[in-house]
Amino acid sequence: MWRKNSKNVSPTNQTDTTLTITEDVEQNIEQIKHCLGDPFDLVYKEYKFKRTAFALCYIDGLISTEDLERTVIPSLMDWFKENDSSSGARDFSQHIQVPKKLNTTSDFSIMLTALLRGSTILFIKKGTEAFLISDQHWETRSIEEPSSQTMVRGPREGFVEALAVNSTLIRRRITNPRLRFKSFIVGEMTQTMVMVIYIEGLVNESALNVACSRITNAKASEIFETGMLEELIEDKGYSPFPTLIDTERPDVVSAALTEGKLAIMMEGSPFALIGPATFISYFQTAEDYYNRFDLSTFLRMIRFIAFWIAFALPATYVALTTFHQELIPTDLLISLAAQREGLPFPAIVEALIMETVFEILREAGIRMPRPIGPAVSIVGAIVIGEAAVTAGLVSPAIVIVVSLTAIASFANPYYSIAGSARIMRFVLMLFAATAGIFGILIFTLILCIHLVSLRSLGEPYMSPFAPFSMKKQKDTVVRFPMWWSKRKKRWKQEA
Amino acid sequence: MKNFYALFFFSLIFLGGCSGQEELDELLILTGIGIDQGDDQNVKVTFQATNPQAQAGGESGGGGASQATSYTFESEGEDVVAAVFNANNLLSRKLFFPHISSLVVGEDYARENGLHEISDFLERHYEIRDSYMLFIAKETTASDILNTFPPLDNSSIQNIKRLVEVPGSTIGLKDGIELEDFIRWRYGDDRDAVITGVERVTKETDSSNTESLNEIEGNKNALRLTGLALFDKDYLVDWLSYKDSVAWVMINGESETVKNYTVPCRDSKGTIGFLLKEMDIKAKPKIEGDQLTYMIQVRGHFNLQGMTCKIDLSTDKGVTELQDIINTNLEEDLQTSVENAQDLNLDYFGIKNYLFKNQPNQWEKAKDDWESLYAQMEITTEVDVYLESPGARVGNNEES
Repeated sequence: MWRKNSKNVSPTNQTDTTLTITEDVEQNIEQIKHCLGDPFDLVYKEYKFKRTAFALCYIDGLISTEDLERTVIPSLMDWFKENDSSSGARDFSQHIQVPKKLNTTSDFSIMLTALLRGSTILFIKKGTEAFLISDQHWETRSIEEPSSQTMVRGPREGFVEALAVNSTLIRRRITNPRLRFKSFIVGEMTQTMVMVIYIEGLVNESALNVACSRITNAKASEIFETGMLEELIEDKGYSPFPTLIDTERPDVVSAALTEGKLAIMMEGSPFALIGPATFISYFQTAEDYYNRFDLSTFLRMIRFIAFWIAFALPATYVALTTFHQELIPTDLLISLAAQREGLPFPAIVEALIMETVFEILREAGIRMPRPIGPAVSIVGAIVIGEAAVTAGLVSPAIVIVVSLTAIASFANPYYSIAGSARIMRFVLMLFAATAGIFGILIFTLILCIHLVSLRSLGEPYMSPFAPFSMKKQKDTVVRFPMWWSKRKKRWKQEA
Repeated sequence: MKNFYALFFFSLIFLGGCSGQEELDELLILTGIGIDQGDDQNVKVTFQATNPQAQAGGESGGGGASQATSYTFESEGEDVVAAVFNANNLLSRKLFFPHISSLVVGEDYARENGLHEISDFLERHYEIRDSYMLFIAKETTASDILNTFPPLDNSSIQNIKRLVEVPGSTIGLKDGIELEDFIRWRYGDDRDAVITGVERVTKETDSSNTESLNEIEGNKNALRLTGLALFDKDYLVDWLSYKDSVAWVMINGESETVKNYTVPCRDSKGTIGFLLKEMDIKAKPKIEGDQLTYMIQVRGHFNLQGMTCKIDLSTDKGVTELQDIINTNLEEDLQTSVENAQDLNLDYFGIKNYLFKNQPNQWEKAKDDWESLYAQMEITTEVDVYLESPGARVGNNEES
């Protein structure tokens, strides 16, 4: 759908390139109206004086009209009452004080883009330049607690959709002159503002170069979420693993920046991307550093176990009960065998049925309208928990396996990597059903090989395990106390 | 290259085709095997299989408590292999061997046919581990043992396995004797094997029915560990008494760390019961010239459990006396048991093997005259255990 509609259109080549800013104020406004198709929210007003005239033009809702009326218009009026615009633009911009940034351009298309981005355009009679008063101001969601990444201890602020707000959230955490925001425009059609955030001197230069060049070269007509951007920035290939971390939390981004990583944010998305990501970083939360080190280490272990369970438990169950019954303790085997008596499907089919049912329930739980929620959960609980067993469709053991798997898959702090475990679980189940533990081993080995070959922004994904670095083990599976590491960050030599 | 990988995975999944896959409800989970003499020189194999439907707790059990927790199936054949094959004629499920925990051999079979055929089959079978326990059914058949519903446990096999595993039995064997032990002794170490024995407590009652479990008298269905069964090569020849079994266990270091022992008083009637602890036992045979000596040294301490002798434990003298009594009795017991072995001309203490390993030169010279050498072997025992604790009391009822 999207692809079909996106013919090569952009606001710039929609306009006639021959258009220029003329000396006639009214004609300028007519041209804008023509280019934008006489939009209902275009507000313009001409102010005429004896010797001169000026016009203000903006799009309603993108600027602060209050600012405009209180400070911009009166000062303009004062100036033009006494002066002639013929004295030149330079004069004007030096003497008048508008509260916000004042740019000038003589290029019509640049002016038009600025208008669409929320600048107020000022035309002056007999001037061939337009003045861009950049005073964007629009309605945003207020800062709320991030809903996808909650924590017990830690700041409650989450990013919002407005880039300007998000950047302040980071600035407030890192009060350092070396903090850099580098902006890009991505999307031929949407012309979306994208920002790369890093700390000069600390950031991994090569990763920064990779990220910047990939953003510059990204060929997309539209992006609406950092998820779309992520696909453009990541290495090409069919990896099931995410290679950039996404987060809603400014504290996570700030922590990553101080570690020499970079963050990518864009207008319209509350999710920031952090790179280069390592596999291990998907198991570390910001909260790990807010809690005591022993507790955090324990919790990290739990997350690893949970990931493994979410990935391999159903497959292991299938493999053990259909190929390697000798590995199950006798008493457990007997009780499993008792549960399997008289069941119609083989274990793999059972597992697939239950996993699919669960995935459906989960998807339904996300998509359904809020008021229907309880209905779905009641039906789901009965279907998965009770009825399927009582009806002799599946064994109680597989219900335990599936629910354990489900719970474990929610224990991961990052939704994206939990998603990879979710997909690969099914593949692993197929391997387990055809070749038992041997199949599980084969697939796990394939994944291992794949993981060590992955790169995130040019950096190895499995670092610091492969390549191994003893130094960096201080904060991987185990989080050692803060006082183990030297407090001072070593700054790189200035380039 | 990508195509090659894709081909590899697909062939793994589709050509593999789930071969070797078995669902749990297609398996007959065996817990034990019994082997007996059948009719016409046949071998009779008894399989004990669990009945999962009856053993599982909870609602899914289906049949529930009305069914027996285990079933036994008997099958005969010219040899063990044939008997096992023939079993498939009467079973609707595939025999599943890996969970076998014990093997019971009937006394008659062990005396007449020996264990070589069984050990070969069972060791060769890829599904069977060698680490299960061996039992000889004393004065009865293996099927009789397997066909018993024991109190407290789900099956007789589980029962006899736990008899060995749970500490505190008279002979105090630490791990039980496994098939691999037997095979090692018989074929590797050139020593005569012993195997744990098991018997029915009351031989008359029929315990093959769950009804019998409704009676309060547990003894009727109970199984009991006996002294060790003694083998000459593959054949059962004799049974060791409890005392000799205990001595065997101690000398071979197979003993549990804590061990019950009872000795009589010196003069008066009465006994002393105590727990031997932290025993350090050294048993070393040695050839010097033409003389073989066997030195047994025991060190350790004991906790007094009960005493009906007139010994005043509050005095130093009394304690020494108690220790003396225990030491001499232990020495005598050990001495007697080794002498018994000499009388039988069976080397179940592994003396040959020890000499072969530690004095290879002397052993080369002496091995031809082994029988006379063994018969004239001198035994020295030296037991030195001391009282660690008299228990919660020091006084003595018997004091006058």
